[in-house]
Amino acid sequence: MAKAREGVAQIVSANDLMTGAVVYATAHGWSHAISDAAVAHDAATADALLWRATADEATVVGPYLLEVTVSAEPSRAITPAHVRERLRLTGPSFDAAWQHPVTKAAA
Amino acid sequence: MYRYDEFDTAFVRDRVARFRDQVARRIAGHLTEDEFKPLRLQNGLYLQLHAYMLRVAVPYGTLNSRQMRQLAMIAERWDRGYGHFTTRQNIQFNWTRLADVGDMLEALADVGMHAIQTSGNCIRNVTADHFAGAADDEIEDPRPTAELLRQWSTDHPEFAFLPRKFKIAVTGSPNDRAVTKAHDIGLRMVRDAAGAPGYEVIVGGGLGRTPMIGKVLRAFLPKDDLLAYVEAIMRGYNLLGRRDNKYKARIKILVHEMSAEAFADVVEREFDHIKRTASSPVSPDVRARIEAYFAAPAFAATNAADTRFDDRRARDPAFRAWTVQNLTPHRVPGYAIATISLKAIGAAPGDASADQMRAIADLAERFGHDEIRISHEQNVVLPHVRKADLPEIFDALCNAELATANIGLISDIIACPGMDYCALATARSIPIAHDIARHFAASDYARTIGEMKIKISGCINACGHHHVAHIGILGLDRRGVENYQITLGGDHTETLALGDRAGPGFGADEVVPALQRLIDAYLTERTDAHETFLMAYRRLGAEPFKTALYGNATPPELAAA
Repeated sequence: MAKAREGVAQIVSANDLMTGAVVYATAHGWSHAISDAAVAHDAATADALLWRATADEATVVGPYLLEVTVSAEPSRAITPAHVRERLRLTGPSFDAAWQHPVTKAAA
Repeated sequence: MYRYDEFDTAFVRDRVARFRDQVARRIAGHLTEDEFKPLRLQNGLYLQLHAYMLRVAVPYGTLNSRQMRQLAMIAERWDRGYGHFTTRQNIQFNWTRLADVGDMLEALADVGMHAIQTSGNCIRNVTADHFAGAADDEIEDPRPTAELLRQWSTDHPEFAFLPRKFKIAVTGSPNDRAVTKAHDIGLRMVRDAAGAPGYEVIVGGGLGRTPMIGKVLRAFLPKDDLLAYVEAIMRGYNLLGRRDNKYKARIKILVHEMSAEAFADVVEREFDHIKRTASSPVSPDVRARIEAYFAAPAFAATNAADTRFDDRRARDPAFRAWTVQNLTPHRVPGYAIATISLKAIGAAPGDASADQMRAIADLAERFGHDEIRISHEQNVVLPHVRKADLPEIFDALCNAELATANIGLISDIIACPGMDYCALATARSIPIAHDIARHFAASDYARTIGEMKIKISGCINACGHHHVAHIGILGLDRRGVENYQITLGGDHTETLALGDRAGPGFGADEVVPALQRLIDAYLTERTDAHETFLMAYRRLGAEPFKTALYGNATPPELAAA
């Protein structure tokens, strides 16, 4: 997974310890919504985010850094750069007729 | 099939209680994740992209209707209503929650199932021919051997921390449906010149990032020496296998680096030592007790007057097509082996809904001597069905969307879960399988193409077995974009062959057109309809197929390929 980098927007993602659901590190905790994620723009901030996440073994498992793009104000939409991270956001990319729909809220 | 005795039942219950306690201690913070991770892996619990994933062991792919119904219940109650059958005959639940795992394992223990050693650096599920006990080409049923190895390897303290995972497969037929030559240990049941039963022992096969064909360590091992010999192999591996580099830690690397002959020496010396100093771990009555569990069911006598099978075949082309593709000859007259395709066009290969699992359970109980098998090709098998019952079975399968008549054809694709589910994946595999199956959906055309084994892996770990596919597809990450490499001419049978890399990879949208060009070339070049793609590839070599894929030009990247 990604290392902390300069000049690249990064966030931290992990899986919720109890449910396994995808979560993103916010300024003070965790959220299922990527829009709540704390964005690091330099290596030191990214490292600090990851360090805090790694220490939070009571809440999450497997934290790591990933690269994102942040769109301009006012929306500041956060979008993962890599297709794998976009799949973590949306769930499996295909439909199975009898499969329950993937909703982040259900996590 | 094997039934748990009091010891087995107590063992899995105790294991569930132990794991519940480990989970509680992890949640309470008394265990770190580093301490907990190997424990959860040895209980089959992975962390994947979207959730935990529980891999449940289906020993040598065999289960009964009660167990299948329980899997359906577990899927509905604690997961999202379906399960995925794997290339090692297991089942995976993709949406597991840590808090629920104890209850899921308890529900499994209720029906004599578990998730022990389906992950971790230990001996994994021992797989076997999915037609065991039924096929007409079988020398001996491999499942008692697989069951013996299962009991011996479960919680074996000496082999709980191997350099890496360890996979064993057994075939009882010279037609190898268990992919033995691509396993860490492959066992082929044979007879010596005098007719005595034994094993050809193959070691060091494997797929993944360094695929290798297994080497014969012993052409003939007497049956009674099995555990002592396997123990000798495991000790050699445990002692000498590399622990410095995860990617060089499998036994195939050890055998390759020290040579098969040198490794055989190590094994033979240890085997000799074991036989001289240890009492045999398997008394004849232990073997006999296990074999008794696999006694043949009470097959019904053939009734020649019952023409239901032939009548239906004559008047129903859909049923006829299904019998041509999905049935395999049974050793008992009047019976057949029925393969139920989990490769409906547009379905995720190997997935079954809870309703489908229950439909299969009902059919097995009513018509199939209560026996079900999972194949490494991600389909379900009813090994013992009367031909006369097949029309009714087929109708039930149609109702459950389980009647696709495509076994062995181009849409019978093996695909790993890929990047839609798996944290290790570098590309998606299921959408590629969908695209291929939809494009080649016309059944007449698929039958014209004939036997075609396409296997798709979403990363270099090759869980989709692409190396041994007739046409293999490997999904990689090329500068952040999914890119698919094609391999040609692989073979997963007793004539095991690793596919040749065709050349540069293709974008997701280019895969189906590339496949179409390959199929066109094959149909043009084949001598007749009896020459399969694999036969044609072996006769013609790679050139005509590479030309079909890339044309006659040799751009710089091809020259380097």
